[in-house]
Amino acid sequence: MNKEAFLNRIATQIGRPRPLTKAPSRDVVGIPDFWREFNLSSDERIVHFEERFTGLGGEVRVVDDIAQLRTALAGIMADRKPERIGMWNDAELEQWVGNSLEGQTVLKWGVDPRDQFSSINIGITGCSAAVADTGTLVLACGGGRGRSVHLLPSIHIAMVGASQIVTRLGEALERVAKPTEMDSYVHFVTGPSRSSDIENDQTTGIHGPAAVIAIVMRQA
Amino acid sequence: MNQGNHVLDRARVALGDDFLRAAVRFTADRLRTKKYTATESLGRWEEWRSRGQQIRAHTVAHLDYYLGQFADNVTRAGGNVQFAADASEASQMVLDIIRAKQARSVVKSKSMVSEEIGINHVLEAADVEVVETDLGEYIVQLAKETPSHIIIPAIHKNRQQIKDLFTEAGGENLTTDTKTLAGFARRTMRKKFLEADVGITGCNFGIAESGSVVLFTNEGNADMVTNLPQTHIVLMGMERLLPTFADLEVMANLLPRSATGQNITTYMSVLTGPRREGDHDGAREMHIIVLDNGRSNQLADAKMKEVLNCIRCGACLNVCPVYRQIGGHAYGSVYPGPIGAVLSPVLNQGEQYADLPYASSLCGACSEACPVKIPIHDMLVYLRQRNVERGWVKPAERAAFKGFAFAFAKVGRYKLAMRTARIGQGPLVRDGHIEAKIGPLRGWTEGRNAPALAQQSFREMWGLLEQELKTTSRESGRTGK
Ligand code: SF4
Repeated sequence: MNKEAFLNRIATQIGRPRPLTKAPSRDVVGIPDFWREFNLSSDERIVHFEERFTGLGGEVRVVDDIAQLRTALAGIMADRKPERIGMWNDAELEQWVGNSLEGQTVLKWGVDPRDQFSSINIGITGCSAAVADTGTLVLACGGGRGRSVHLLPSIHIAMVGASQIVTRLGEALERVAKPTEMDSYVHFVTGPSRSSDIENDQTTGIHGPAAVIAIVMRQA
Repeated sequence: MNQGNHVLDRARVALGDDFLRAAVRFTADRLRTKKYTATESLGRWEEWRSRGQQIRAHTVAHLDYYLGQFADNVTRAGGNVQFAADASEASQMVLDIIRAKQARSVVKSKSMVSEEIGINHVLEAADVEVVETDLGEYIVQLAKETPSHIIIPAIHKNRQQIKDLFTEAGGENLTTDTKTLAGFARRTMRKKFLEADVGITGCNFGIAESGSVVLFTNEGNADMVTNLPQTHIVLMGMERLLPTFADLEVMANLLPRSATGQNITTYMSVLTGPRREGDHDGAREMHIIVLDNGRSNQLADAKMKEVLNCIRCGACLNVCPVYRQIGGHAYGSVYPGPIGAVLSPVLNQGEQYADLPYASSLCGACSEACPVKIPIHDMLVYLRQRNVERGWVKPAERAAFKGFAFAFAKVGRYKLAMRTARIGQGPLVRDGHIEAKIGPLRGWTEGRNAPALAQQSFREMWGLLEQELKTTSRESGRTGK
């Protein structure tokens, strides 16, 4: 069926001679007003994010500055001993990470061959925003910020600047979902991949990462 | 699907399966309790529900505009949109894309619309391998069955059965341990994702203002399906739209809380067109197939159009005393539970599912649970009336209902009827299972072994059901503040 016929049929059933072409007026759009007033202070946002993210099986490290961030990152590597790390090709992320991955095999997205990423153990990304209320990481992907970097490995580490944490999901949507200028893929990630399909018994890492670690830096 | 001629036959069979009943009840309880906690912690749930209802009602009332806007924006973002009047047209569109791509293998993430159009059969008939990648759907697919719950499809399978199915699918040295089973699924599916030519998903919401497709999952399978194969096909019901991202914030709060009691789903993926210039992954082509299949007929019916407001959360299933007793398969339709009892007869013209509106006690728990306030039980009453007006009371059905009412009214006769049935099944029972392919259970036993009628009779279970009914209405009285 062609588009015109399809839309005409809908219009007829609704009781219009032809499909509407002007945006209809609306009494209400989006969330109720009381929810719009929900606003956490910057310190509360970190605390909430940590609580929620951890509550869903994620791990959070809160650090003060870049030096501490690098120490934390190097510590995770020493712990997990990855054979291969994949990372966004992103200038800011590189600056944050600095020399903390020295001695590791690190693949850069868009630089190293794509098929090698199917064997990375750890994926390192930045983020576009994080949501305190839900404990969510927001990853707008495109160009050097490849989707596979955080989807394929069993451990995902995301760098989060404290100022990137917003209170509500809607604020994050306003930042990354601008209708005409958004990335082709925006991913909202809340904790590790999970399933309860086997006798209601929860298990993680069924498709995506089994562990998600957020490193939150206060001075950013 | 062919599991007996009438919902009551199928229900009787389901009632004999103790594991099924226990599993369905346990899961439904768990989801219901979690939902209660999640909505309590959010607060002002009734205001959220009202907002959800307003948004859905506005969208559906202006579907002609929003669907047009959505399609234009998909095209602008580099995607391709097609419109299918019915299931067979939609299937043909999928097939045409598959053929054009010379695809041999397809990975799918959970989509009720794909079940609705029966795409797996169509593709398999065309020699294309189809793999369901949601863990529950994968289990159901290996068992050659259909989902028994919208959100948790394999609710009716225990871990021993799952282990056996996985072993048959090539798993070696598996145990019944969840981690081992999940590990097998991860390894198997990862390979499938990387090899597949085409990925098929449903669509939780289409955003009109941007042409985006929004998918909610917990496992992350939709992200593999949309990003690894070169071609992505989206199957969406024509009503599955929201005007703006601001509206998505409301649904992202309502849907996971109602479905599984989560504050938010683990993954919410927003796809706007295929990969762009400079992107190194993601599908290169995105095809969206918008399906009518009986939906637009409801728009003109003031009493039915709200059925299009449904966001497929499954909350109405979890509170339904009938669903809790008989599980999803007894409905014999793609969409089970209260919403299925309303949707199936309107998406399928004719009498095929005209019996489903009777698989309800009309207690109203479904309407109270619904996050977008659909008056489901009013619709069930209306559909019953409509059946009568259309003269749709087939002889067999009439008998069944008469028999049904009659039997419950006259306990003595019922006992006699049941005793006769039990004696009647005697010669057919082997090791507690009915294997014969004759008699009233034929449709069911053709597909699988039917458990023999339990020692506890349907009527005794009906007693349980009535007890549940009372508890449920008390409980929903408490939660519905
Ligand atoms: S009818 Fe309401 S409760 Fe049932 S699945 Fe649809 S939205 Fe959920």
